[in-house]
Amino acid sequence: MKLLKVIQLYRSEKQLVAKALEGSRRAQKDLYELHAPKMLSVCRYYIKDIQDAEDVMISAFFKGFQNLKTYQNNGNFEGWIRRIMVNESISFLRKQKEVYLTDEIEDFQHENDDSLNENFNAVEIQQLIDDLPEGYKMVFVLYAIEGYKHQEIAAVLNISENTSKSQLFKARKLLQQKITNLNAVGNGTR
Amino acid sequence: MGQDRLDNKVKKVLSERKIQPNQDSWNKLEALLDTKDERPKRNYAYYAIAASVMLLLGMLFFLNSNKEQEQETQLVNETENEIKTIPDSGLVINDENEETNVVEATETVENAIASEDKTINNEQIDKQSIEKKSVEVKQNRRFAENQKKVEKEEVKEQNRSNPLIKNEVNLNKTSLAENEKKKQDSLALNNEVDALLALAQENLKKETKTENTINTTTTALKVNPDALLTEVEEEAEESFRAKVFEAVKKGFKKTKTAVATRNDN
Repeated sequence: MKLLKVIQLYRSEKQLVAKALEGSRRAQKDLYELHAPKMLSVCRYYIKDIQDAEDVMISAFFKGFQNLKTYQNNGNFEGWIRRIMVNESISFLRKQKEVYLTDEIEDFQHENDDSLNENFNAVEIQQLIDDLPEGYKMVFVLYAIEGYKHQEIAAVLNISENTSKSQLFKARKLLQQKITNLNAVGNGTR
Repeated sequence: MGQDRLDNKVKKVLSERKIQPNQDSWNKLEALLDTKDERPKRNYAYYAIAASVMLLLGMLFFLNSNKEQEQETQLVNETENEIKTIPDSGLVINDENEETNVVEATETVENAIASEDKTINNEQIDKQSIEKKSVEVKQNRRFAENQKKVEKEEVKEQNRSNPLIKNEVNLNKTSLAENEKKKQDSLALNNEVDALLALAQENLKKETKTENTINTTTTALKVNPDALLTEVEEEAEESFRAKVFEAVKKGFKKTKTAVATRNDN
């Protein structure tokens, strides 16, 4: 029943947003329930602790509802609220600990190692991402999952584009190593 | 695995993921929204009420002060007239009080002229009556003196007719004459003093009468005594009010000039 209700509401998301804008608590709740699971997942990319991730998500939803008039039905609501989630997650990480993004210029060369064929599920890859240094993690998630360009990442993280590129390069390299290890361990145990 | 392929695979695997938040997560959000929603509304309502109350009070005060000012100007007109009707009062009419309507001024001037004439007539009558009275008093005193002289002469004649007791009488006569002389001197002095006192009293009476006549003439024209009394009472307060308004005016002018010349420096 609840799912049906949510689906019905999803069809009229614009109406929901309009009502939420008028201050309807019911519409706000429906919007929240519709998008919260995915948004919590987004926050979880950056934040290892699920409770912290949830707090950040709640805070981001709150900011979203407070500034709902800036949305004005441009694009879809999910994309809009998701950007707020990303920004909120990054500012959370920055508050938690000082994130140093070293401006290292390295020779980025695409490693085309097609011989590797790793398999991983969401839990595994999330764990690998969690273990990445904060700087690597943020740039990698922003680039690989959120689809940000280096220019945008540089603006969001207040770093240079080159730093963004070097961080992404290192993150990928590290991840590949870990995936390889994971698969090697997996194959060894099987 | 290539870079782009790795990115794509990670994206694909993770973007399908959904994590159900805790059941009380919405309550947390709602609590946040409630606190933020209520605070500004309450504040705005409070400020709005406070502002409206202040505005109302201000309006009331402004309207009242205007009324008072009108009343005061009217009072000033009347008092001006009164002052004008007193010919030798030596009072100086304040220039501030001249800020009155031209129409009112002409009307009051006419009234003042009428009342002036009346008071002058009354004064003349008073003076005449006072002079008459003083003349009568003098005549009476002269009459009394004459009577006394006549009595003395009679006594002299009786003394002459009785030679036996002439010596005694002569003695008595001399003493009497002395006494009479003394009496006459004292009487003359008394008369002078009385005359002077009478004159002084008359002058006083004149002054008070002229004041009274002013009041009576004004009452005869249009004002009832109660109104006059209240006016007199208000006049006492007037100086204080005038001071207050003057202070307010000065303050306003100061701020006005300050605002006007704020960019001059």
